[in-house]
Amino acid sequence: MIMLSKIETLFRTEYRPLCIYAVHYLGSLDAAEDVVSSCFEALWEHLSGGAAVSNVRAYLYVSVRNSCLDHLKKNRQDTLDLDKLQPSDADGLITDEEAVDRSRVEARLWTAIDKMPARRREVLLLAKRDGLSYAEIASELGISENTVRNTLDSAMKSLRSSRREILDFVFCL
Amino acid sequence: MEKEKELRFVVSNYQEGRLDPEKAKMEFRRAHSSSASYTKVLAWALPVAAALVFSILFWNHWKNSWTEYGDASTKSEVMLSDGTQVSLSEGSLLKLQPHLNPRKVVVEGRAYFQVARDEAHPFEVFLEGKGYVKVLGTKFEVLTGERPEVNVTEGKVFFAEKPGSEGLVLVKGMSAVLEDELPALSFVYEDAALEAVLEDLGSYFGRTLHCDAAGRRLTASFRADSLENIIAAIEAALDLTIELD
Repeated sequence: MIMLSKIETLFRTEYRPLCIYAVHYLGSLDAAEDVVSSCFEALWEHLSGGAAVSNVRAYLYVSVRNSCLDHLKKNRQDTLDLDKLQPSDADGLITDEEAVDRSRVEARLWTAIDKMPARRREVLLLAKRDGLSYAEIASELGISENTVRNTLDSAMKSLRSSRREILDFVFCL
Repeated sequence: MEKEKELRFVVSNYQEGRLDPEKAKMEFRRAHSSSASYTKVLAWALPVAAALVFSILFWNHWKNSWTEYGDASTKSEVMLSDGTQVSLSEGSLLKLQPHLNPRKVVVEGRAYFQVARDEAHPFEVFLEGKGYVKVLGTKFEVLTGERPEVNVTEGKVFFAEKPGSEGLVLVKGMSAVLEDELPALSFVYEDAALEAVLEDLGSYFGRTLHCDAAGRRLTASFRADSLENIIAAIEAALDLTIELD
């Protein structure tokens, strides 16, 4: 089936960015994955019903956004003004456009972190997520501060190179 | 790192192995390998195709099914759907495919047929082993075995080794035994008027036979190979003279 392989290709390129986009709205990985999966489901229904979609990526983003808003509306007690609902990041509210753009970069970063050796990832998360100092990480993991610094450097370097890959990739498109 | 806020957002939400596109894809595939939307076409096409195949198989089976008649210990009388009547000797077997062709039967043993007349549909008898009879509507007896035999008591019968092979047309009073492929014809008479016998022989051999012996009757059977031999046999049996021209 040609259509199924098309959907499966979309999973590879769009699933993680869409999930991260949804996390900007929902703040929850579980909810984001549910929403994105059901949007793929809906796309499949739509396509197998014979409908055509000219820009599948844009279609998916709109579909995920609407689902996120529905989800928020359903799961919150207070009355929401949907038009005023906005995505957010670690620091505060961002625009929908920003969330779309950032989801692609962030998906690449996520992938790069996923691929890191366990120790390097651990150091990165302790430093950037938990905000621990070199000394605190060193005592937590029982390694020298120097090793922490070097490990974090190589972690950041690998993230930068992954960013460069992203740019190359976008350029190639 | 210029994309500091992106990284901050990612690490603040990061959980190892989550948001995995492969896993999601497999789940999607699993959900759709059995669901109706993945196989929307197959979902209804498969049962329909299966039902179709089954009905064709069943119809074929029904169409080609055989019906058998006969009894090992007694004679039996069979009335076929076309009105043909068959008398089977004990231990004889009649079988046919009534839904495929009710006027095409196979016989093993001895059977006497009174075939319902149907000009459009010849009645065919396949003698088990070898021998083939085709008729329109008549009465005759068949006997299967090493030397298959047909005796005609009324009407006209075509007798051959098998369909399409050279054979003989037998009329009332004639018998034929199938030997070495071509049926060997014989005339069988039981208490028949001599005039009728001579007329039979004359019409078969294309000659005119004459004899001044009104009222004489004859019980005999002849192999139909030579008219001269038959005449000689009748002359000897009844002590008379037959003229031939």
